[in-house]
Amino acid sequence: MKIIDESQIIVRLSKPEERRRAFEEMVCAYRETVYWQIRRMVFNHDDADDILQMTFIKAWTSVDKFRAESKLSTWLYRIAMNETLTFLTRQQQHQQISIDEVDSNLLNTLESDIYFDGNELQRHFQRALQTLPPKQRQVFNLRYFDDMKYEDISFLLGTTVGALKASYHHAVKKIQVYLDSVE
Amino acid sequence: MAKEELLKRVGRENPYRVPEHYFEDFTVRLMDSLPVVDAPVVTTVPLWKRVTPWASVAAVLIGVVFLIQSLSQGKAKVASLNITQEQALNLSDEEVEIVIDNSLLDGYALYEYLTDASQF
Repeated sequence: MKIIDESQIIVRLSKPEERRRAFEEMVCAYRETVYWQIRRMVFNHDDADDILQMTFIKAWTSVDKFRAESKLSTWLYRIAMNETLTFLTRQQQHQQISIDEVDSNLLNTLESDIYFDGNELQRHFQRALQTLPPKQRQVFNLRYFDDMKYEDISFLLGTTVGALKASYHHAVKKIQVYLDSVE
Repeated sequence: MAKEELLKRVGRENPYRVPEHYFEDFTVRLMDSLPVVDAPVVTTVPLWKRVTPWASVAAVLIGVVFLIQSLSQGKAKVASLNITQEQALNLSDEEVEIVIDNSLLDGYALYEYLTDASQF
């Protein structure tokens, strides 16, 4: 990730003549971290690509609403998470399929995904993650992969630290039970 | 601890890849597709403006707390099961494990809670 001076970018975003260039710099700085947040939620590259694009378009069209009270990165992650949850809800409603079907669909998807390099254990791990409800998966990803502090997750998701800790603990247990059952 | 066990078992390695030059190409594609937006104004709120409403609320709350305390003097204290955000932060993962394992809270109840409590 490129290091950028957020305060400088914010100032430049407010100037019409510099806005586009500043936005591009912001995209370059955050595109990868935001992408991986999304990809870990939806698993599939094409879906992650669509959501990433939507995230930045939404940021562009609502940049005037950004009031610099939070970090640019936090603002972007919030938009990305909202877009991701909306996508997953829509997908679930659209498909109307059972949990078993979701499970076997994911297995087929991972088997045929040219952008998945994992071994058998990682495949099982990804399937275990897929069994978590989206919000719990979000909490798990932020804590497990990004080592994010509970206070920061709480700020990002608007949920209490106690609930986050409990949710994370349950997620870890569920994943272990799943892995035990397939190994 | 559960997290360490899981880390040892599956690690944190990212098994996913992206197409070659994906991120560079993404930026070009995105910038080409951005809609035209009229000059936005990014408002930077000065610190004093952000603090003033909270200071007013805090002053009122302190007043209310003093009022309640003076009214309830002599009454027996009632133990509360609620914990504050700060207390929750101080709980270690091991303590959370013990509390959750011994509570009647299941995954579904948590999921419902998270769904209701989230404010995006």
